Order: sequence, then structure tokens, then C-alpha cells
Amino acid sequence: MSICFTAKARNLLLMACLSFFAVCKPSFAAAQPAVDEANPLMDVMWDYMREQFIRDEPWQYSARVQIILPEFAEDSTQVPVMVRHQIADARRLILFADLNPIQHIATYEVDAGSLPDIGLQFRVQQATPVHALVQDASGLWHVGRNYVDASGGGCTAPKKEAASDDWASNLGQIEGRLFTRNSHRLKVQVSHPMDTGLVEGVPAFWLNEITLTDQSATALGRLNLSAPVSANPRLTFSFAKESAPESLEGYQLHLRDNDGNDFTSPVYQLNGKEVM
Amino acid sequence: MKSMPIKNRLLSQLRLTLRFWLERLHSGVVLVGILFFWMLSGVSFAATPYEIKPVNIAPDTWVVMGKNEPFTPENGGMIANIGIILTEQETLVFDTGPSRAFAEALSVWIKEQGGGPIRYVLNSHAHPDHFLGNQVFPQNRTYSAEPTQRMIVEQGPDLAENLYRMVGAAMKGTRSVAPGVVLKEGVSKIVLGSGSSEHQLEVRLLDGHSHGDLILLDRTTGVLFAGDLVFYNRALTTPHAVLNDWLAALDQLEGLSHSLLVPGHGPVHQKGEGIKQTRDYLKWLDKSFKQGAEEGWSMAEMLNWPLNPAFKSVVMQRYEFTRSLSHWYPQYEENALKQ
Repeated sequence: MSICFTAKARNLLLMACLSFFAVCKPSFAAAQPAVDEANPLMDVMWDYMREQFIRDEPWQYSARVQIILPEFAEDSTQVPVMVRHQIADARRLILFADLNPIQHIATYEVDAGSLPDIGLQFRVQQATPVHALVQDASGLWHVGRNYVDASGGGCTAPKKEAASDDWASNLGQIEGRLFTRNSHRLKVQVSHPMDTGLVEGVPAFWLNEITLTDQSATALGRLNLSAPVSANPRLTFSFAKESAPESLEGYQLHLRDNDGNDFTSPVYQLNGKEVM
Repeated sequence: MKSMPIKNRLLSQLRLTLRFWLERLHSGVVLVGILFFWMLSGVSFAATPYEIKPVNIAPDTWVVMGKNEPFTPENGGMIANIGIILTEQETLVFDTGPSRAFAEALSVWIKEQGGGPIRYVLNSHAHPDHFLGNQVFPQNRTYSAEPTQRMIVEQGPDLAENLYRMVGAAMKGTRSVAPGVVLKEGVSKIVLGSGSSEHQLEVRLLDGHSHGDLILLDRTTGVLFAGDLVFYNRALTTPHAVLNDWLAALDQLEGLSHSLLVPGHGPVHQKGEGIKQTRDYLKWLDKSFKQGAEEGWSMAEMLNWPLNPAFKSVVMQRYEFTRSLSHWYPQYEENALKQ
């Protein structure tokens, strides 16, 4: 499961270009606009987004935060993303898409234990940079960045779920399973329409608060989702084997949506069976 | 006030005048340059990007070979193979290409080639690289399966709009027109042309790549136009595909006696290879997604799933794998979670 070669190549190229301009700046000064130290990737919304999410807290770009993302969105209502990191004392993760009408996608706060790699699907309204900010124990934010091309309309296009009314009958239904191949991970799918409120006549209605608890019902972390997360979210919580306990047996999810509906997942066991 | 010597005044006047005209000249040159460039580029953008060079593969039988590329402005969306059976009496067209300009160029070529009037226009299925030239041909001579007609009616304008976005100028004037005639299930027999150029044709309706795949078998020449049920050396696409239906359709194709197969994408070839490759590739996709889902790979991680070296001759694999992942993987994930 290495990082996509093309993404790697692109990042290398980017770094090469950046360092080239950094080195050659004096001779290019007249012809080239100086690289903005605070925004070397020239993301038009970056300064503004940074202020929204982390104000003036210290940050740096980091290769230790990777966003796995397709180069283009085949389905702009279901863009897969996974944030991976190698920051041992990570406390918090913020994921957002700069050019979405609702930029925020997800935030994970560590209560106990470590910050998992997180996978989900989200909607994009147009081609956009995506940023993942991981804060370590010292308060420094490590910033990963990627980009997805898209034809758009994911947030405001009326979707099938909105047209049918059977979403109500399986609202909050949860399917999940533990995996332990290269990591300890929990993958769940929750039935929920995740309405953004941007489609005419369909009010915003989405799962916004998920708490992960361990065997002793201690809260390990809280995942806050925003409405751009795709309908019927499939969420992956993946803990590196060295940082996680033996397994995730006995783990459980507690979910709440913005209407105050509470859902609780079964207690997950490794053999695939769920213990209520 | 001390007046300047007359010589100096004249000189400075001359200098000013010279500079004035030099500046004019300079911007004039630039202007002419821009105009020239604009005209040149204007010509190349305004003209149709389509070079219609059909390849003769059997008596009276021609194929416009699509490019093995995604939709781009440069290829004008001409990525699918388009078939023509051309006789002096009448002509058949198998798929109409991505745009009005393409289909117009095709019509011109047919006339130049001495082909008779276009009697049959077949739409193999409802994907935009195959039917968006329909408007150029008579609607009451355009045939498809019922699901294809329905999908073109319902989604054609959106499909066209998306192609405008990806292909751009070459799409000018293109609009989605649904086929006028729906074929009944089973086999429809057609006799095209007469005398020495008579072709005994069979149209069959299958499904799997889409909900209504139409294929054409020329019993006279042994050429099978398989539409997008067969891809050869070009990764297959799955936006509306149903795995088991597709595999069943491939078995049926294999049972049809033919000597030459025209895939929807990729080179024309002898019987067997393309069907086998399409089947193997589908099974590999199925196996990969099953394994990924069983091992708990997230959808994003699957973007980096290793490609199969057995298909090294197949182009565009990573691109199409990314697309198929979006079409199919969620269902595999759901199945794995429900166990």
C-alpha cells in the first residue's frame, strides 16, 4: 500500500520546482513573482482557510501527512480520500476541500491513544485542492496537500437518495467489521442521507458526531463530520500496529446527527461476529 | 530664455519623431504577429479535428479506428471504433461517433466513396462516444435496444454536456438524438445491398457492458461488430456494466461463428483474443475488488492496487481502474461488511 507513484512523482516535481525557484530567486526576481513563503503551492484559498481552521497557530508542509486521492473524480458525489500520517504524537486532524461551498469535511480529536489514518468518501462541487492538517503534541500543524479534478456539482446535485423516501426505514443502520492485515482497522458503513442543505427543498441533515470507544467504554477519539461527506458514509479507522493495542476487539461507535438522532454500533470482534 | 541652437532642436525633434514611429512600428509588428498567430490557431481550432480515414477490413467493410485515449480536445472524442458497411445500393453505419462534426465528416466520406444512401444506423449502446453523431442521420433509420433508447432520452443531454466539457470546440452543434426505432429481443435479420455486394446481416441484443448492447454479425464476410462488449488492448470501461451479464454475453459472442472481430475499442483482430482478454480482465477486476474488500482496503487505498502484469499490452489501465473502482468497489465493500 505505498503512495501512488504519480502522486509521489508529482510531489517530487513540485519540490524540485520549488527548490529551483528558491535557489534561482535572485536572477528570476524581475521576471517571476516571488514564491509566497506562506503559500508556495499558490492555493488561492489557503491563507483564508488556514485562518478559519488554525488561526495563527504554527504550521508547516509535511511529507509525513499524505492524502490519498484520485487524480480526477469519476463520481463527484463519491470521491474517495484517505489521510495517512507518520506523526507519533498527533492529537488532531482537520480535513477540508478549499473550493467546496462547505469546505470542512472532517475533524478527528484524540482523547486517548493515537490518531488513526482515516478513510471516507466526500462530495466535490468543482476541482479543488484538499488539505489535511495534523497537529502534534507541541501544537505544530503538519500540512498535507493534494488536488482532485472534477466536473462538479457533487454538493448541489439532487441525488438518488433525496428522490427516494426509503432512507428513513434504514436510517442509522450500521454494518462494520474489524481487519488486522497490515494495521488494526475498523471499517463501517452507516445508512444516512448526509444532505448538505444545498439542494433546493432538502434541509441539511447529516451525521456530525462520532465517538470511538474501547473495551472499557473509554472514549478514544471523536470524529466530527460535515455534510460534504458522501451519503451512507463508509468510514475507515486504521491504527498502525505499533501504536495500537493488540486489536480493536471490543471497540464501538456512538453516532449522532444534527437532528439529535443517536445510533450505536455493535461491539466489534475480530472473528467478524458482532457482540451486542 | 535662451533658445536652443536650431541644429539641436532639429535633432531632438527628429529623435522624438523617430521614437514615435519606432514605437508605433513596434506595436504594429506585435499586432500583426498576434493577428497572424490568431489566424493560424483560429484555423486549426475552427476546422474539424477529425481525420476520417476508415480502414478496409473486409469486402465493403470499413472501420474508423478510435484512438486509445481518454476524451481530449485534440482527439475530438473520437475514441471508439465506428463501423461502415458500404455498398452502391445502400449503406449501414455501426455507431455514429462522438459529435455532429464527426458524423458529418463520416457522411461526406461515404458519399465520396460512392456508398448508397444510409439505410441503417445502429447504436450499439448509450455511451457518448458511440451515439452523439445520431443527429446527422435520419432518426427513423436509427436502431437500438430499448434500454439504449431510454437511456439516451433520459441521460443523453447530460452525457453530451459532459463531452462538451472534456472535448470542447469539436462538439460544436452537437445535441443528443435518441434512435427512432427500437429492435425487438432476439435476432433481427437484415439484407444489405444486392447482387455481388449483398450482405446477410444479423443484429443481436445482449447486455452486460450496458443495459442494452447491440451487436452486428455479417454472415457474408464473417465480421462481428461487438461494440463495447469487447475491448482489446485497451482497458475496458464499466460505468453501467453488470459483471455476470457481461461474462454471459462474452460466452454468447464466442459461440457466434466469425472470422474477424471489431471491438468497441482497440484493434480489429481474429476470433478469440479480444473476447478472452475482456473476460480475463473482468475476472481480474472482480477478484481484485473482492480481495481488497475482504482485506479491508479503503476505497482511496485501492487507487494504488497493483495492476496485473498479464495485461501489459492493455493501455489505459490505471485510468480505467480508477473509474471502475468508483463504479463497482462500493458494492464489494458493502458485501464484505455485511458478512
